[in-house]
Amino acid sequence: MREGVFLVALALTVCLVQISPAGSAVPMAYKPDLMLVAVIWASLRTRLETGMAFAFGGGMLMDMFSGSPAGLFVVIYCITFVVCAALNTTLSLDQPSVRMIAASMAAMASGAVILVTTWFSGPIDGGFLILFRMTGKSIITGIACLIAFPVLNRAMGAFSRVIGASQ
Amino acid sequence: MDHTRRDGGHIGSEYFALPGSRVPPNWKGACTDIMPRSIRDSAIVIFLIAGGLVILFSSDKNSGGNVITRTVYGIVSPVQRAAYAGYRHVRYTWDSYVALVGVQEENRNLKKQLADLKRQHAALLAEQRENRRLRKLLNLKAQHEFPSVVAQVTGEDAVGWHRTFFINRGSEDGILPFMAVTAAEGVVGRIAKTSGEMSQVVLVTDPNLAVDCRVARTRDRGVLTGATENKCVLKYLQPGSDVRPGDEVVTSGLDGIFPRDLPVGRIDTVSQDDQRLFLQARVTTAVNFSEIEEVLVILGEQGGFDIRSGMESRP
Repeated sequence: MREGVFLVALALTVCLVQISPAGSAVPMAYKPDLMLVAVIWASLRTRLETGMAFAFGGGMLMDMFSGSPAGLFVVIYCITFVVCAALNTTLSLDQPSVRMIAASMAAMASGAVILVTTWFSGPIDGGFLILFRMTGKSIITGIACLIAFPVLNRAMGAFSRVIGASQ
Repeated sequence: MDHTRRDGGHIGSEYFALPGSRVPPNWKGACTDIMPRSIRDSAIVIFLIAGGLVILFSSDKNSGGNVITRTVYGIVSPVQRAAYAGYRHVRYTWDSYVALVGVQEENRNLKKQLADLKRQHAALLAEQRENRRLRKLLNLKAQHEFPSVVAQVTGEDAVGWHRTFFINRGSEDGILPFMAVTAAEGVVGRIAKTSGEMSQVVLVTDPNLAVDCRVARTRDRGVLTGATENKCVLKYLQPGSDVRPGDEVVTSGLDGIFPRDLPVGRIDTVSQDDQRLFLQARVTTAVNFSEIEEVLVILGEQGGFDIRSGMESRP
């Protein structure tokens, strides 16, 4: 329950930061997907049911506040959560370098999914620039992951101290 | 001391005294030889005052000074310069050493004042810019024949994969999905979703939005879709059309969303499409979306614009 409260607060905070023009220091097309980073963090730190609920809710929020068709980010984040949680059992995703690669790959995959779904609605003209943008955005998301994980760990620790342990 | 002159008079007769003043006793007889002392003294006083008045009223105000003035100035000037140099030296010494007590505090206050003034200056500049933008929008609003609402851009696309942003007006202000959004420079996009006090706008640069457009010069029709940042593609132009780079692209009004003849952008390049059936043109939008802060939402009914006016024949 307490873990859920923290995740709800986290989802709302991330959403507000994402839609705020001042929340990102990079151009809109290259800004990091912080909700994806939060979902990866949740896959390593939280229980499956609360983490999945967070991925679902975060995806809903992103669908609401972006131009994507409803449900797209729900699917992307839920799959990301499951894959990262599964990988974490075999690979140690908690290492910064692995974490960064995982976030970049996840961002790249989500970009590809969005590109495909947009393609269905009509051919996209952009060519190499779209690939360049996807790569740049993925790398920036990976870098954001390096910064965001310690912040989220500290925030979760402080929340646990103030409210109490989740168990 | 002998006060007797050669003519037998007293030296003291060249002097005078104001009435009641003490005069040496041996002068008394000489002073009163010609006229009574009090009358003579009064005459002198009156003469001098009258002389002063004559000089006062007869002197030329625009003259650079007469010989006497220049001479007096010449005598006084070196003394005055020396005195002033001395004063400055003393003042400098005072300011440099004695008056430095409290300068640090004053410096701190001045820095604070400077920071405040800079902040105020920045705020005023921002207000000036906003004022200019709003004035442009008001002009645009006056040009339209239909009701519209000015809104501020409050947020951008959450993830950044799509080209959308949020405005601070919603259904409470009469905004509905599919309404046209414009700026002073041209077409911005259309409303995608609304809530009470907020709406999402899909930009013309988003691939999910298509706008029926015309090339202003040739009146050729095409469909404009988003491609990249500040770029769009105008598709399905007739192969024989005389469309050139630099031509202005405007809305046709035939989609029922945008009123006709709103500026959209300018053509960069023209090429054939992949199937070689139509021409297509890359268009740079008139609006710079990274700088946009206020927009105008046109409160037309969905499909409510009279499309007949957009179906005129070519010129």
